[in-house]
Amino acid sequence: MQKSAEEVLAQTFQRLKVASDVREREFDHHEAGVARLNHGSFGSCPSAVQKAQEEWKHKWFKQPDTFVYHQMEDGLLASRTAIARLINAQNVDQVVLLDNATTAASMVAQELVWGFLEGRFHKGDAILLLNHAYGAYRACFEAIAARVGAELISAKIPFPVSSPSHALGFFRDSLAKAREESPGRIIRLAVLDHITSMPSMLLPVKDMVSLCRSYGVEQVFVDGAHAFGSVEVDVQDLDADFYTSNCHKWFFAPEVVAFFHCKPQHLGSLHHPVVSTTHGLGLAAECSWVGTRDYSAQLAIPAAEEFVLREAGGLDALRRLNHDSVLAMGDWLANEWGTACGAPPEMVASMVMVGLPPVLNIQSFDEGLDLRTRLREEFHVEVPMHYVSKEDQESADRITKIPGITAYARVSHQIYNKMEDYVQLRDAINSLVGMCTSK
Amino acid sequence: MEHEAAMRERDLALAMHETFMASGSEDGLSPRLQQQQSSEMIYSPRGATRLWGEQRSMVAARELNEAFLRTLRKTEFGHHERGAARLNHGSFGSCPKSVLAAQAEFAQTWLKQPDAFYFGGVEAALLQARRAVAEHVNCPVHELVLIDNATTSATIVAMDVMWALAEGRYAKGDTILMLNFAYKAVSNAFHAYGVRAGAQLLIVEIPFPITSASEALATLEEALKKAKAEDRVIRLAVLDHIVSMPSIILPVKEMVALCRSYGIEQVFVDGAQAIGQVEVNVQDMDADYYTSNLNKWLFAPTTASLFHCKAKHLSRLHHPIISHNYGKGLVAECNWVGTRDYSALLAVPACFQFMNSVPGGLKAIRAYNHDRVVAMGKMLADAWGTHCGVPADMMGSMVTVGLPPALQISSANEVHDLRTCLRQESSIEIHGFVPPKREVSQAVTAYLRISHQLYNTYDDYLRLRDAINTLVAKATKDRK
Repeated sequence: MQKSAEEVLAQTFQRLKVASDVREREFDHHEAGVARLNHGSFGSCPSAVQKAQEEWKHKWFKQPDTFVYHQMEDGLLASRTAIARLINAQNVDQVVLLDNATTAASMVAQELVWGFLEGRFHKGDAILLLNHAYGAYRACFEAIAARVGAELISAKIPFPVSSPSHALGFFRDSLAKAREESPGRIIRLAVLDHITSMPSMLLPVKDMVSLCRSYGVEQVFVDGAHAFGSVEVDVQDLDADFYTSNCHKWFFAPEVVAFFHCKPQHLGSLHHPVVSTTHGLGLAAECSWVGTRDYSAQLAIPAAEEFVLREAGGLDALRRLNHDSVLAMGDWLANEWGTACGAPPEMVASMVMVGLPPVLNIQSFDEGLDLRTRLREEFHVEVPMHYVSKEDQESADRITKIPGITAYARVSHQIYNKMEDYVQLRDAINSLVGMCTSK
Repeated sequence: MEHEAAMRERDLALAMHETFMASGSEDGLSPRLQQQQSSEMIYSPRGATRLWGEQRSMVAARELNEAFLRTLRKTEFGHHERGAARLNHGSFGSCPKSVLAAQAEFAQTWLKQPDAFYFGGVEAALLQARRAVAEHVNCPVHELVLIDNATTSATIVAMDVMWALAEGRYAKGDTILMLNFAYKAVSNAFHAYGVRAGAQLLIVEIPFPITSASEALATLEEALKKAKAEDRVIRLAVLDHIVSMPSIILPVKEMVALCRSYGIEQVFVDGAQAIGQVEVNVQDMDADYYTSNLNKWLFAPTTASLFHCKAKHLSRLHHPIISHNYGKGLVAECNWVGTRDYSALLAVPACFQFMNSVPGGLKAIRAYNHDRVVAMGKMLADAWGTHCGVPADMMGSMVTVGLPPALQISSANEVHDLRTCLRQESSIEIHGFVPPKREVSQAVTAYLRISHQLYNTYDDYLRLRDAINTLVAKATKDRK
């Protein structure tokens, strides 16, 4: 079974014409012996792109004034232009670069704050988040909601999930319920995940955006932190007011750079949260200078695109490589452990949620974290865990048809992964299972 | 007259020559300095660290002299553009190779296995960096955070004002006091978050040229008296420790005390330029908030900044970027602002190692830079027939020198064009400005801000002198 799984991987690489030695050539800075299966958290930067970044840094340290006045602006525009093209933005003016998706949340949140403080919005107006919204996003919108008197609505997306329409149905129910509870309440902003972080599911976000609009939601903000480089991002097609994604997660940009896209009507009212000399000159100007900073990661975007083209033949091929490979690995692991995956293939991008053997008896988020630490320290495997809460267990069992899966590993595939990484994970979990059952 | 001027120039040149490079001997050292050098060890980054530990007294006995600096320029600042006269250290600073190497090590640790670093070491490494800085500026480490830049610090304080107005702690119309020379980003921050939320601004006009620290203090007192008479409620005073442009060291400790004596609740000192130019003792200064960029004069990589905040404010203030640690106090919030490259912050202890490897340490560096820039300011002012806008005791490592009126520069755009011209045609980097207000009688309409840092040579300033003189000659000729 392992051999055939290995063959599937090899064939996937061959079919998409991706060399099998990218790891050795471009990722030899990775810690040897570590099965690096958590690409989603912090991404990875190939040597070629690091080198490009170093060249920009070198220019800066050599003569910073020359850099600022004669080199940086063109470089940043080239980065934004490349992204605008890749995400089908209508105009590069609508695309700005930020440190990370976390910054985008604070930026959108601050615009909401002014709406409340300046009387455009009123106490009781609502902000909608998904139940699986990223922790920092939840922290951000909870914080401002509490301070300005906004209500928070949590829309439920089930996990495990059986299909996109399963997810969409729950989302629609949440919107309907929210309206029922408070018929006149205005939802000023809905924050939707393109790919939820934990647990990871690729959501039918285009339909969710439309649904929001049909319920009178004024603005929709799509958190696509994981999306760029793992699924197609077509901002015109999605039609959200705001869209953000990290480029250092799945696009091989150096740490850190994210893009933020917004509809033209917002360009005058949004401001970068950190106010600098460029404040008031338009969002693009504000984002292009937030005080003296190291902008080299932002400037290395074209080098990242070159890497994708050179090694994978393009973003589309890269996405398919990772999608097909991670699905194969997810199925194989689930089979090895006698468990199941938490989402169907059409809701998987480059990360798959693989159920852990129930005998491991993970009963809390902290126990999941302990398992993760143990895997890192004892088995040199890096993979994050999701814990299924007790109230969700019943429905979880119904969907997976395997009772008692209380925790899932979020397993990723990126161009540098090999079969041995997944074997290392399988064996580690099997060892722990062995220790449990031998008690 | 000509003879006298020539004599003066010769004397000055001789004095400079003695200071910068001794005459007579083969390798450019005076006999006295030669003797000293024979007992010195050749400086190298790793060697310096070992040296400091093992040969403390020997290092301490060495002088910060031209021989040492000549080596330093090669080993630590060899990445600077060859042939460029780098006289605008104040804008973007500079980072020695040994500190860049320390930064690269942290960056590689992250890239190697980010999760392990995130869960196992990043916060501790950041604490070490914070400790080094807190010790240096004399505050408890729990009152000190490291962030991107002073611009971010200003936003932190300004957002607190916004919430105070929004939540009724301040009333609409309450005042924020700022100086006319506040850095633009700082002024923007208090407009964007303060004025927009309903605050008023009170701008105190520090004069320039200025003759003494007491002149600055008197100006502030006058403004405070007037505000008191008008029953203005000043909630926050934003003061500059060292004005960026023009460059002026203000008597900020006395200014803080003055503000408090007039009942101003909170004082924020923008010391962006300060650390590494002057001594910074936050406890002594007693401001509520103090910020300074470490990548300007403390040799940190791009970028790292300190923000000191009195304990009583730590739970109320927030980093503008909300992440997982929101609500756990400012320190926790600043420890993690989302996935970032924290290597510049983590490398800060290496700055102290670098400075300790220079004979006399930071104290000697500050004194050396100050003495040199004062001398160079005088040299240029004499050469151009202008003046320096502040007395020597209000200068740090930067001096603002009047440009010859013959250049007829009277707008920011013209200064910008001059900078570009000097950069592209003469490889000279300087900064400059046009004072917004001046006496009608005053002939000098524009000033250059020049800096001195360890890597500078006398030649840098001579080139600037000559480049400006050439432009003056050309302008004079064109006008005929």
